[in-house]
Amino acid sequence: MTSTAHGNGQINAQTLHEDRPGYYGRPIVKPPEWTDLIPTYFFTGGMAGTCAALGFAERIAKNDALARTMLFGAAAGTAISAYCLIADLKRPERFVNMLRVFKPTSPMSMGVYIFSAFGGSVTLALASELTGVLRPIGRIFEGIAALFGPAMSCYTAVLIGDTVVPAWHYGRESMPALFAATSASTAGGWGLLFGPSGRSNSAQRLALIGGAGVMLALEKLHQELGPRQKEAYQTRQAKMFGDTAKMLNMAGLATSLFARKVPVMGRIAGAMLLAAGVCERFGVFRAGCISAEDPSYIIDAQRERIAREGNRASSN
Amino acid sequence: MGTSFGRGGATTFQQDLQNSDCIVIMGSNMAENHPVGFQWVMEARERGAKFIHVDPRFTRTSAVADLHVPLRPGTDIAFLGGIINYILENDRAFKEYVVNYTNAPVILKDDFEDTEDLNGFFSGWHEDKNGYTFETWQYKGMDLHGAAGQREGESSLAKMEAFRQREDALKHGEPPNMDKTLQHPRCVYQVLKRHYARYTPETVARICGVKPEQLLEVAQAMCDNSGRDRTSAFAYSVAWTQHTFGVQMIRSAAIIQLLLGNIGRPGGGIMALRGHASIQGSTDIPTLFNILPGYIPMPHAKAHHSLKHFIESEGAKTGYWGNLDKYTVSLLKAWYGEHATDENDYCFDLLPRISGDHSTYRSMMGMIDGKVKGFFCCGENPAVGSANAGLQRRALASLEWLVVRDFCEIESAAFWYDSPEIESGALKTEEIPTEVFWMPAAAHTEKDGSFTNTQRLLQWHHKAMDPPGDARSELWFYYHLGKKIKALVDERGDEPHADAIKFLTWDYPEKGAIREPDAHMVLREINGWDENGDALPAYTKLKADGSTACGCWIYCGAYKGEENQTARRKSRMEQSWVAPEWGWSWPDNRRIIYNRASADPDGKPWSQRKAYVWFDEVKGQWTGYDTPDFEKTKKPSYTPETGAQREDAIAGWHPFIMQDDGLGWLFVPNGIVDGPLPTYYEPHESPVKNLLYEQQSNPARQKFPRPFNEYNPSPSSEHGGQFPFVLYTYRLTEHHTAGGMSRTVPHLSELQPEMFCEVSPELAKLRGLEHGKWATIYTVRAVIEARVMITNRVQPIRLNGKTVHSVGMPYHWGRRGIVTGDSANDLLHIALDPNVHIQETKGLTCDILPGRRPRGKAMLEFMEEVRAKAHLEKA
Amino acid sequence: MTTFIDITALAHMTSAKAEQATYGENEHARKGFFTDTTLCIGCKACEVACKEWNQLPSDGYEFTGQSYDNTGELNGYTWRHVAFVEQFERPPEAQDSSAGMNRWLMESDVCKHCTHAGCLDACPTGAIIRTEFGTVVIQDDVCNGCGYCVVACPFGVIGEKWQEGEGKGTMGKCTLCYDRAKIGEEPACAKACPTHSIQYGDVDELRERAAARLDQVRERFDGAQLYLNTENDGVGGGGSMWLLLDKPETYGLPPDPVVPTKHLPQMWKKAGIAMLMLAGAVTVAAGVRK
Ligand SMILES: Nc1nc2c(c(=O)[nH]1)N[C@H]1C(S)=C(S)[C@@H](COP(=O)(O)OP(=O)(O)OC[C@H]3O[C@@H](n4cnc5c(=O)[nH]c(N)nc54)[C@H](O)[C@@H]3O)O[C@H]1N2
Ligand SMILES: Nc1nc2c(c(=O)[nH]1)N[C@H]1C(S)=C(S)[C@@H](COP(=O)(O)OP(=O)(O)OC[C@H]3O[C@@H](n4cnc5c(=O)[nH]c(N)nc54)[C@H](O)[C@@H]3O)O[C@H]1N2
Ligand code: SF4
Ligand code: SF4
Ligand code: SF4
Ligand code: SF4
Ligand code: SF4
Ligand SMILES: [Mo]
Repeated sequence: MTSTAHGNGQINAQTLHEDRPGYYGRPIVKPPEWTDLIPTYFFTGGMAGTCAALGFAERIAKNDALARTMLFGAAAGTAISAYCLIADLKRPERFVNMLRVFKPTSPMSMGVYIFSAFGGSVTLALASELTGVLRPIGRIFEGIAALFGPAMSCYTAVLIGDTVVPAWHYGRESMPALFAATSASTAGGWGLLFGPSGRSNSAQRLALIGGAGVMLALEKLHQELGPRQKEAYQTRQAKMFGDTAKMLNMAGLATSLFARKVPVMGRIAGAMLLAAGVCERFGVFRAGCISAEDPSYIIDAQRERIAREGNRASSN
Repeated sequence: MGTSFGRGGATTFQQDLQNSDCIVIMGSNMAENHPVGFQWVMEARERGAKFIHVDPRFTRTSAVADLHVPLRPGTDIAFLGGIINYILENDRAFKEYVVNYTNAPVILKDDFEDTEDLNGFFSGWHEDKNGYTFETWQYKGMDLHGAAGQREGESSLAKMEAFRQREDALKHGEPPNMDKTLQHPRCVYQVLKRHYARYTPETVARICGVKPEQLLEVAQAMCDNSGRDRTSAFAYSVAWTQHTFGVQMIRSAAIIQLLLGNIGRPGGGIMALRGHASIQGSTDIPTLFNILPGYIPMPHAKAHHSLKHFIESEGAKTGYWGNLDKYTVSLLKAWYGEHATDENDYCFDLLPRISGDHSTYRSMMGMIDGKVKGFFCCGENPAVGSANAGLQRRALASLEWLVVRDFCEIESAAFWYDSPEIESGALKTEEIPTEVFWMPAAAHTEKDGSFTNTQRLLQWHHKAMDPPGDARSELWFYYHLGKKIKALVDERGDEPHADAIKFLTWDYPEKGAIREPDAHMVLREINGWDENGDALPAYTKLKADGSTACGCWIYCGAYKGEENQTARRKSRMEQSWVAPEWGWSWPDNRRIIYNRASADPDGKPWSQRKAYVWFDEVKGQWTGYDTPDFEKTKKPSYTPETGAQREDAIAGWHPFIMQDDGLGWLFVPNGIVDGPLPTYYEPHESPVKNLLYEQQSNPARQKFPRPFNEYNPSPSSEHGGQFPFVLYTYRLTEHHTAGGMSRTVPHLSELQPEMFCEVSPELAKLRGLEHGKWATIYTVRAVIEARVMITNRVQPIRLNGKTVHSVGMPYHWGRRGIVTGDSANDLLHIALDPNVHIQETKGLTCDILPGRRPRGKAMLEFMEEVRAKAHLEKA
Repeated sequence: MTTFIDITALAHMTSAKAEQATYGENEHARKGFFTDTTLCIGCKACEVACKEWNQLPSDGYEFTGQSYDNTGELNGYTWRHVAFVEQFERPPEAQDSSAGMNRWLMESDVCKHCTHAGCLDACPTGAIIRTEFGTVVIQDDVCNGCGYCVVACPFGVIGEKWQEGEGKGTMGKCTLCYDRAKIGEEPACAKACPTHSIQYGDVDELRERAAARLDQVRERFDGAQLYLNTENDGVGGGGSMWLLLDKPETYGLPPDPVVPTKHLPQMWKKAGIAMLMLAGAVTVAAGVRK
């Protein structure tokens, strides 16, 4: 017996089940089979994408030290991402099957190409950076990585938006902005944490823009979700992660303001923003699971729509 | 069924239910237990028939019924009595049918007295012998015989009676004293009317816990849907048979169907739903102790000295049972072959004899008492499936040797190291002397053979694969065992009874590496052959002069034309809806029996809509959709000579050709040991007193008060309140009987993984039971545990102002297999129907508590307390 | 960017018919189920027949207490599931089962073989295909277990296989007995159903049959309604359709399912904007020199 076999098969002590929504309160859609590697991937992938973009911008701006830090960030993120992505496959040996088809209807298919292009470029750029071999070509790959960076940071929002998980699907329009903003704040955070003292101002600025963006995007997300679907984000672990993310984000933002005066404050701010990013992703992920496990999210959303637009699925 | 109509089989077939205008399923949960046949009920419903389910629980059958009536388990006779009363009081019987085809007009002997006069007893009761004699139940001027063997059983008391001088006096095919106006106060119709007068809707409601309107709705629906143009059907199964008055429940339905003219007609009848794949087959070619193949009675040690004497005392003069000599001699020829000659009474002497009740429960007690030393346990699992399973296991543990043939090591083979008694320490493995031989059996897919299903239909199954390993078919096992025994007898020379073994024909061709006997040849022998050795076409060709051999007269024709008729598989799409070319049904491939009744006395269909079999004046013979259950050329107007014998004595307008008088018996003068009419008694254990008579329970029921089979105190006794709830048991679609074939299969086990009990929310509240948690259920015999299923499908029963709760549970679980659980049968007692010796599994008493049962020694202590409260001796 | 989005939109608009047509002359009439719950007796023969035919293992022995349903859901090993719903409006202590609505609903659930199948759209490996019968099938040997189809199905049909030696790690669901369809046999579940509650056939014909049946039973059964029997719903209609006696959610079905990819173009558009903004933010952050 595993828990996968029977969703929430616990017996309710009250015999008569009318008080539970739907069919004995059982999920209507399946909660994701994904493990925590996936929100981790959202975090590392998102950060890596924006790291690459900022790194290349700094390269152009001739701030090689920060560029190098950001390239390392992109590389670290890529490495962890690749691990998460493959490890979460139930048949990891069949990873390559994704590269045999190109499927525009599948954000995961598109994502794999984005990730491959991005990750490949970052790897080559890093190799060149570390070995000093073929520097100019390395720079070109940095550029390609930078080009794919924003896509890398944002496509995962489409990936989860394009599911039936209510907390994700009904926030699908604002999710990309949230993911973009979190990527910015965490890439900035990376720069603050590991960047060269005094030469990480653009990281600080990115962190500020990202951090503020997160607050705005969250607001928008909640609006889009509406009060009923928003509840998923205010339940159990989703709430805990979400609240922590918000607090850390605010604190990180505030602390980062002192980064230039007190370098160590910059590093603390960076760490806080990274942590906020992790919590943010886990919060979104948990909210998704919660909303999928409780059928009332689906029922309420669809009933609302029926009230608005009429019933299409059933007729009598 | 046998006593009412002449044959102990369903009168119709399941496909015919689609023609019904009203179907009452009562005493059966057909959708769950006969789901495939149930499609025809659904078909009828879709064609507009009214479909009623009467069952204590709202089941999957009730779910698709138009009306569900919940009644207290064990009170069906009262409910059906209410319907009979409604028919008689409102004059709704199908008069033309009743007057011509039933014994309603027959005048009874003057000394017959009813339960209404004798407070719960019929005349003829002998307190000292604990049984009835039948002489007062006879027709005036004529003694009835009761279909041979067909009698649903017999007590030795009735047996001794077989000697009495019989007065068979049909006058031109009719009993001598009749009143076709049905007015004579002692005619069966009037006796019936008086007998059932008390079963008013209000009284029935107070006994059964139904509402009077519910009874009326059912009664009206049946009456509205019966008559010339419409027919109603009953379907029942073991919730009618498994009572201390089971036969009488079925009799009640027979009375209704005869009164409403629903027997022998399409869409009518009584569909007896049998259980195991071939349970009908196992009574036709019996595994029962008291009959021989084809319902020929088993000779009795004291009663039957010679073949002649046997035929005279057991056969009838008139009707088809008048041919008992032909059936018996042909059977003896099939068994003893050339050794059976006219001079030696065809080896009648060699047949085993019975000396009383040797039914399964008696035999189990015989084991405990040391009288039965060895046991073949094949195709059954008494340690789980039989009533009072604890006693069953103790019986097995008293044996010297036990052979279990099954697919796996079932509870009945593992009892000596894995049982509740071992768990509690009441029995110890080292102290059990039984030597157990577990032998693997071949499944039906691994051997050729036939099943006789619930509608008397024989269907052949072909072997699909060889049995694995040492697994062997039943046929192989007994055939080769027989050969070994024969060899042993030959070797030892003349032992007493040696001829009984030596003379047996034992020569089926053997096939293949494992030397499997040829099952087709067994069927051919059952079918029988004539003096040239050619397969017989029908039982009408049997002779009493030793020139024919036939292993089971009712199956004669199954191998007609040297072809295995039971293997025919012509799709119903390619033939008429009756599908006569699918398999073969006894007798003579008839699908609805007594179908002469589907035509009026003149031989014309009662109505075009309900035409089935009729007399074709032009051709001068009976014809129709089915094989006519009548002599083909016997005219409807045929009037027998007085003194005519056998079938010649049956008038052209009498459809029940197996009966001495050719009539359907509303009143049964002979053949049922607990009364000629059904009458209401409480189950053996009941929480309430009988509202109708002082006599609480069926006086003739078989009781076995003895250690390990004590009974819960009766409601009238001082401790009557100790077991306040009604206990009843049943099946689930997902499992099969004692579970040996389903708890061992993952795909079935996962569908119902645990033993549970079904209770109403009210009882749950009363006893503090929680849904999905555990409950402990106990009687004075045992204590078990089950998960609690609280459901509105079960309701409290309101009786006579009192609320009675019930605990229902499936009986499929045991300690072996993939999913395990306690056995409901541990709780049950052994008290039997006196006719057929079937246990009462529906309608006992119990108590229930929240939580799991005590274990180990604590269980023994718990039981001691329970028994002390009931003032019983220590176990 | 815009052309890209259009391609996506186009891909979504592909109907079962168009995808099926790619089989050329091997194309068959689209096959599906009409499940008439008014005929279901809850015998679970369909569940067992499916497991037997498809050699699926048991997925556990758990007593749920949820009426007679100990299966609970469709998942990787359970491709047919019979739901049991007890609806009894009887006042306590009243023994009159005719008062109020008293019924026990049973419904056999299965993959819907959607016209616009979320699972098929989502699958990144092409493991999920539309067959020549218009049905949706997972190819076990291609699936890499990414689990994306699981969250792309509006009906929660697909589940993971987790038992060693039983396809562990890949996803499972009804194939509409593809192997049997190929030899012209009806699916195992439909064949086993004793009451014709499960009816198999050409989808066009079944849609008509369903409509006719509704007309026939509307008066007889409270709450009778058809589910997924037109092209107008959010999944473009089911290859499987139902006659239900209560709201879909009573049986654990979504009341108004929509294939998520319906909104995919819009999502990419929003994502595109987010990417541009992100690029802008980076440029701003790096560009403001101090
Ligand atoms: N799936 C499945 N099918 C089976 C079997 C199986 O084990 N599993 N067993 C086979 C066998 S051996 C047999 S004999 C048949 C038996 O078939 P059924 O007779 O249908 O079997 P049960 O479930 O024992 O009892 C039927 C119903 O009787 C109700 N009942 C209990 N007491 C009473 C009563 O006093 N009066 C009335 N009217 N109803 C009562 C119960 O609630 C139950 O719903 O089924 C056969 N078919
Ligand atoms: N409480 C309660 N008790 C009841 C009943 C009830 O309703 N309530 N119903 C009663 C009824 S109607 C019945 S029929 C009995 C059934 O009770 P049993 O007959 O004792 O139980 P089964 O489990 O059917 O046992 C049949 C066994 O035969 C094995 N078997 C199957 N095929 C073959 C074969 O070809 N050869 C051999 N040698 N073995 C084979 C199976 O594996 C199985 O173990 O239970 C009775 N007991
Ligand atoms: S198990 Fe066999 S006999 Fe029983 S309903 Fe199913 S097919 Fe008929
Ligand atoms: S129901 Fe779900 S699994 Fe089935 S085709 Fe539709 S989306 Fe795919
Ligand atoms: S789990 Fe398998 S079938 Fe599902 S989307 Fe991934 S690759 Fe496709
Ligand atoms: S069609 Fe085949 S695979 Fe699908 S549920 Fe039915 S039996 Fe199972
Ligand atoms: S087989 Fe048919 S009747 Fe039985 S549960 Fe399945 S759908 Fe219902
Ligand atoms: Mo049975």
